[in-house]
Amino acid sequence: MDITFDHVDFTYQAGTPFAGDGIKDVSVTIHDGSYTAIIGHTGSGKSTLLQHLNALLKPTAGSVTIGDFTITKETSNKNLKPLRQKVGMVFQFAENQLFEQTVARDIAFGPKNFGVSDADAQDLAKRMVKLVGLPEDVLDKSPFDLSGGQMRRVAIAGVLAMQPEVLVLDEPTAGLDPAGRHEMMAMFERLHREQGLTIVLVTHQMDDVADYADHVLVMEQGHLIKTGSPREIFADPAWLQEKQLGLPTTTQMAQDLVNKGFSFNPMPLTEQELADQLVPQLGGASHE
Amino acid sequence: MDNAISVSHLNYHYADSDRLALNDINFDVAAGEWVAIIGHNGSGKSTLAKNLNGLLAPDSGTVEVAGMTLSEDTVWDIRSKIGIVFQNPDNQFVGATVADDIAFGLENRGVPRPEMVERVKDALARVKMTDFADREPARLSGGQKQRVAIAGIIAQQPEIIILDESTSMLDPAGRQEVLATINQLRDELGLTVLSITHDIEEAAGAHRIILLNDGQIKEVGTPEEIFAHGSELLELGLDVPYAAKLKEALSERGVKLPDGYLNEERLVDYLWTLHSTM
Repeated sequence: MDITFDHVDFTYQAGTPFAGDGIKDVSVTIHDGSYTAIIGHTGSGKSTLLQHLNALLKPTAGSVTIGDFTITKETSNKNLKPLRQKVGMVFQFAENQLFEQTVARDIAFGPKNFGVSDADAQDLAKRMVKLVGLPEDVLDKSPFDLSGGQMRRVAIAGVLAMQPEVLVLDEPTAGLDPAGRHEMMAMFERLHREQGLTIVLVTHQMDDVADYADHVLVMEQGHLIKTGSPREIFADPAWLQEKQLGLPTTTQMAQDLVNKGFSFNPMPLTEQELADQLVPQLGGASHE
Repeated sequence: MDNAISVSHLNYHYADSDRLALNDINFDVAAGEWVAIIGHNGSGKSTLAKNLNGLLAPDSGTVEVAGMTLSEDTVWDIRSKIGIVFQNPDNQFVGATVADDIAFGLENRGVPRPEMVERVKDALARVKMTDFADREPARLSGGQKQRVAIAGIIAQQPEIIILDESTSMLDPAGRQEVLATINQLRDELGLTVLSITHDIEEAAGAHRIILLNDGQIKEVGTPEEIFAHGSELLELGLDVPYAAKLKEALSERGVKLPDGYLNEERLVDYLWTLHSTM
């Protein structure tokens, strides 16, 4: 299911003294099966863009086509339910949306709302808990007795239980410790690969962009200013620094080495790539 | 130098658990020092922060802040000296506009209006949020909210600032900027900073690091001393600093490098000496 933005504008609180631009004239296609990262400075419109992916926000001008749905400012909120099922949203601090008495009931809540029988929803809950890497015995626990990282996994399981085609992630690892972050990113990668989920990731972690994404959208002050593969985006460190976006750690390190006199082609994105390119440039006496 | 914070034999457990969330914690933080507390989720970092200003009361042990021993009698004096910026700024917004929100804490303390206006302006300028003074806090982005939360604390001019994962939603450049702002305040006003963080690069900028694991202090040391543990840090749920990872990748390829932790700058310099001898 492709998602296409066609000259989309969105203004917050249009017509009030609080009016502010969200996004301006955005045209782009997020392809079915892709792993797309959206990067940009704080307040650049990333989260606004995201909320158009399942019509939580509707464009104030232009249109968003999501599979068979076309959303414009005239689109009525009726009949959007199938769309919301197809595009699953995991918000920042997703654990804040847990509310049920048990993990099983929390995960089953969404599917049941969409007409899935109680038995089938319970079965889904069991499968989803496994899919997000939690032990089955959490099902009967209160979600509020779990750790922050586990609570977030439960919230994600609840979104996955809707069996979406597109999974939208807004800084899904914020506040997790490094081990939790790595595990969670590996989990999304597995879902992408094994379930064929299209993933849209908003993140400040350039290392995650380099490691996981195949397509990158760069936002600045509401405008989409660049798109390309991670290699294309990170090939120009000076441009990224000018946009205050930072680089993957490896690329930053490579850039520091370039400033000293080393050269790399292409700019490495992982420490393994960097090490491979460094070895031939180091003196013969220092290694076998 | 006087200690800004002095903790001895602090124990704490939550009512619903038998396990000690903090187990015999002892440490001092000198006035004007920047100390990072690192550890995995659930290691007790935030619990410790809440014990320092009396949001939680220890089972046993003592907490001294700015020369006062924390008790029911001193808790309000101590809170006027410590500013905590929590991870999720939504939990600490009260004002209808950004400027009101920052003024709230000052009004509570009876700061005269002309001074209040100045302090609000100055705090907003320091976190580069002047243009947002009349906006609604709830409608800002995550990173902007964190800046406002930090401004709210800066305006109160505390002696000690505790950052509890307060920059987690900022982009890397924004995080550097905010940390530099706080460091500048530390320099100018002798502020003491305790930063609770998962971000290994943020911790690298501290004078000392306290490494917490399962409610106990595992080690206290300079960033160099702590990072020399390399991949052991992974087992504690932490990250390995990038320079240590690259060093490992290079030694796998037969490149000989000096023992111990090299920060990125020193690693770059060292690699350059190898390059030059080609």
